[in-house]
Amino acid sequence: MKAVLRTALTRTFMRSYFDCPRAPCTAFPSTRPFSSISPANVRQLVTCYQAPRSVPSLLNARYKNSWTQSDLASTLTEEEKMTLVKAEYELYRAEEETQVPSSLTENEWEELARLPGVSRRKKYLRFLYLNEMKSINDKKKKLERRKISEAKYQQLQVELKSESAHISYGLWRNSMFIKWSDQRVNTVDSHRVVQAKLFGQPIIFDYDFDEKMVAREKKVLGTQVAECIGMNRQYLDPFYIHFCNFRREEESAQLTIKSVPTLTNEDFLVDLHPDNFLEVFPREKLVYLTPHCREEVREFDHDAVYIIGGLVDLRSDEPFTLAKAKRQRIKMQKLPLDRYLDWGTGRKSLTLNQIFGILLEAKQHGSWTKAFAKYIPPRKLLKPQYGDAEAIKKKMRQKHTSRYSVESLFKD
Amino acid sequence: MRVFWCKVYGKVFNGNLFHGVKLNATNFGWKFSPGSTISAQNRLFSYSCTAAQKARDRETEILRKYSHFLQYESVFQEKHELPSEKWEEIMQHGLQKSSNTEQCITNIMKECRSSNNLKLASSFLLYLKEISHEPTTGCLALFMDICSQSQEECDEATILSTYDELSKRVPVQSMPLLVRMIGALCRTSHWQQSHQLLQTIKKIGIVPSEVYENMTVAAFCSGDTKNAWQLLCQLMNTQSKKFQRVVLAFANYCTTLEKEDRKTAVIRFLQLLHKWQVFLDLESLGPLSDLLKEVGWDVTMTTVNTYSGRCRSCGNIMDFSPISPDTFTSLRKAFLEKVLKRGDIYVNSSPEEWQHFDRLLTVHAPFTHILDGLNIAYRSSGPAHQRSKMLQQNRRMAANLLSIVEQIISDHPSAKLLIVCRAHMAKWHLPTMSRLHDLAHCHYLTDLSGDDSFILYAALYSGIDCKIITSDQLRNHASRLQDAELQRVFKLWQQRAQQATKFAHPIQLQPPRKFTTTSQPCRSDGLSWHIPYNDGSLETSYDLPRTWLCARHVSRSKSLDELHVSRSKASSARHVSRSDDLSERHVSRSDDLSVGARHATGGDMDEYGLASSGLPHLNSRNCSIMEDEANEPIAHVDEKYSSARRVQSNRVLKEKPHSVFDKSIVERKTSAGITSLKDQFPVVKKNYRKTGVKGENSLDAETGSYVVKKGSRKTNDKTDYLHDGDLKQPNTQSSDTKKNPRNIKKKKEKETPDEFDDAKKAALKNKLNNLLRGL
Repeated sequence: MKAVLRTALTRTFMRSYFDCPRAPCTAFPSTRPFSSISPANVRQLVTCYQAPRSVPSLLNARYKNSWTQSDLASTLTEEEKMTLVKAEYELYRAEEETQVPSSLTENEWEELARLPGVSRRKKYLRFLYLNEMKSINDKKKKLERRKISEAKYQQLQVELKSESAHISYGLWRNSMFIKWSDQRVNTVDSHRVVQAKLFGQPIIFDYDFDEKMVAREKKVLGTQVAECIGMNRQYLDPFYIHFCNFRREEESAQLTIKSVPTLTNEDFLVDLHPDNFLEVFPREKLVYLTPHCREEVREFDHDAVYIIGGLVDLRSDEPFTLAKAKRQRIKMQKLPLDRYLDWGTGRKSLTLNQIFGILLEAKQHGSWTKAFAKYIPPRKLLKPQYGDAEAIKKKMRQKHTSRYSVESLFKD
Repeated sequence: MRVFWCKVYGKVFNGNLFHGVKLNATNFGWKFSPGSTISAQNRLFSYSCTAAQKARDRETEILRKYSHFLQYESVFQEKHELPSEKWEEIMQHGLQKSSNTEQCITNIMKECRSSNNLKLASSFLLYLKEISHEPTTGCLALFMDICSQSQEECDEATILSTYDELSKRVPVQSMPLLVRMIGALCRTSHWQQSHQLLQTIKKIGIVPSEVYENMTVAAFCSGDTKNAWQLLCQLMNTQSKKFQRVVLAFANYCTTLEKEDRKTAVIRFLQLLHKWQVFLDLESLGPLSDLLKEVGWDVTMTTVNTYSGRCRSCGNIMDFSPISPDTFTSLRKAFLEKVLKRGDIYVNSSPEEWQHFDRLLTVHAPFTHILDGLNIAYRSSGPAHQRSKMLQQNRRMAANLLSIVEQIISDHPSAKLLIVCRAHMAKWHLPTMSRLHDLAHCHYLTDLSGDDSFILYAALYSGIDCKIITSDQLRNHASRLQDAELQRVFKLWQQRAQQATKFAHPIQLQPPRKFTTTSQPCRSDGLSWHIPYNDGSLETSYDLPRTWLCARHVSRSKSLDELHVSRSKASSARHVSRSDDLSERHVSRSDDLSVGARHATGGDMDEYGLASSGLPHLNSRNCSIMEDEANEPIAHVDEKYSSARRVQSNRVLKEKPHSVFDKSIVERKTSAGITSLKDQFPVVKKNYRKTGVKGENSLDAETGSYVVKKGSRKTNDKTDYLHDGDLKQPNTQSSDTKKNPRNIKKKKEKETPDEFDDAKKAALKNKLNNLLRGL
């Protein structure tokens, strides 16, 4: 009886799955391993476990624009893909050889179905597994720490009670400083940004490269931009940030909103424009920062409106920002990396937060060397080997020139 | 060493043994033929192999440490069945470590998998049946994985029952499971069932190459020829590199055939290799060479001359594999859309620039040679102190470009050149650049445009015989085509069209390749085959193998004695020639990416043997310049020619300190040489050309200015540019030399004193003029 039911189930699965691709999907519960499928829960399996009908409409659009070639055929529907991916997950779980998390959220399933290639999916599952383990361990540690701190606090209370009535200074005791709450620090930071919005120098993030990126890169773009916004608040003279070509229906915009949830609030101090920057600013003032051009930013221009391309290129180094600046006939410049640094290995297209930090620093102190020293990772620079006379000489020469140019900056 | 090498060539056939000998030899520090670069690469390769092996060992060591069954390690290593008592003991042990029985069963199967022990795994399944415990799904899936990977024999019934059980239990089969199931099924006689699974995989997505590999092997083993050939084609289309099992299965299949059928089958296999441009590795080559021997062919491992394409074993010449006009036009169209325009013309260029270039092509195409200006200009190795000076560098780079252009024009008088430059090159040394303008079409792109795709498109537009002069490997452009078939055609065309420059000083053009590296039948008889194989020294998949398997039809091949004689001759010739070693060194020093240079492993005795035989005399006279020159590939050499060269070089040596004399002599020589001696004395002409460039530069440095005649490129005009108004001399030699080339030697010797006087006078005059101008 058991076996018969099972074969019947298999057949229905195969038929619905392969013969008529639009048939409603009957996936099995993700939390159950194969061995636990028994006749008793067949009904439950078939009735309850229909895949969610409301697969986000975005998913289809993503596939169209996706640059990666999936190993799953494009003729399959999203539901079928999801079923396949779930079957794969179950296989790994049953084998216990590939490490997989105990459960996945809806978003994670979508992400998994979007990944090209079996090994990529395996890697992602392992990544999720490690995250899960990490969070479990963190929780354990947190509990232990809380126990310790509570014990300390109790001890302190006992001590305070036993002490004499004389005023004593220290932690948990009296202090001569006013307490600055987080809220207050936040207000001061915001005050600076408001000032920048009234009188400060604008800067643009160009969100026009949605098609050129895959989901992973768009995600990274979101986190980098979030870091930029945070960094901006901490400087004495912040920028007035604009997002241009920021269309909310696009995935890159959505992922940015996900990492900065307050971005769409009306009182948030970043301006969002769905239009191009040429309609917001005059062309003469605009300067596109792109690593592929030839002209360098010799001195930081306090009147210019710098544009940073919202493009994270983890896979290739195509000059998309250059192409855009060329098409719109905007002046393009690159950071003077070669003038001040001995570049070792690594690409010269930096992350967005690095570029933004360099600009902030250059704006505040007028020194490229200082800015580069702070924001460019030292692993990318050439270190003079011990006893390498040529390299040391070169370094000395470099130092001399850079000091000279910094001095000249200050004179101006 | 040479003798040893011959022995290796002749006798050792088994791939592994051959490789081992080679590695041993290199470890002893022997120079390994055919080129020192190859031996160096091999050494590197062996080191990298050991490093990878060590890492793998470390990994397995760690895995072993954390294994639950550490104490039963020896049991899992031995490949025989276990009695049920032993299994019980192991189960008891496993239960202590894991939470429930199912997990314990899966763990034991995992252990079997990590030691890849199929026999043990199937015995474990039998034991589970014995105790009537149901194996877990994971356990069965793991068993399928062991089945598809291991090479041992296994009980067919176990595999089939497991397959049935698994297909019953798992309702939706995912890609990895299907792949394993096919792998396991192909080990049984019911492998035909895997066709259904293949259809399912095709519906799900892209079929991995191992599926085709397994099915092809099964098809050949069961003698299902029709399917086997189809599957083999599909396997080759996946660009897989593993063919060892397939070739073995094919060889086994061939033993069952009649002799004539066997031959046609082998030829069919070779034709597939040719069609899909597959390069076998050493492991899969062994069985194939054995098979070829069985069929009655004489098989030799050999190399092929990089430029002439002559096989060093049988002397036959390799051929281009043909590209049909239709595929060529489709390649051109695809290239334009996918590489040059890339969906957004602004990435590479701009619409105006593209229109301009398109107009140039429609008006002036077809060209015979397209030059990558920047690439050629930058590939020169001058003294290091010169590089620091920007001006001198620019001048030298322009001179490089000019010398290459002149080399091409002297080789092909009717050549029509297009040099693709970037805008900043217009500021380079003006006289040289204007000379370039006279000789060729120069097209300037902006500094931000990518010039490679323009060059390639111009070449594709000009037709299949157009040459590209660049040392770029052009891999990124091939990958942008995205279509595997187009990439294959592109690679074929690139081998045919590309001509690299040598990384030497002064810069030289490498001769064009005359064949493509694919398995091919002989041009002469059509029965012998040459099959390129990867000997493990290739670093990237885009590299072309340098080692070949020469399979000759026995009835037509030379007798063995004859072979030995020719080989010993060749080796003695090489012993004498120093040019081999020198050129090898040149290559090894140039750590560049060019296809040509990689293949220029020196020792091209078939062509250059004669040229180098003239060398010892020259060396004895301490002609330092000649040493360099001897490395040049020389097309046709004879006695008079080499003697003429000797005299020339001596004179160059003598005259070197007096730059002014040098100049004037050079002028006369060039005027005589380029116009009249073009065909008779190729290298004499080259001599002129080189010193001519030198002279031209010094002329410029001293006089400061001279007239540059722009306009149409004619042979007479070409010589005129060298003459300042004062230095111009009547060109009386050409008619004489035309009649009798031998006269040139005598005449020049006679003329030298006069020349000295003339040149002195001219120099003095010049100096006076300059002084006067200064005052």
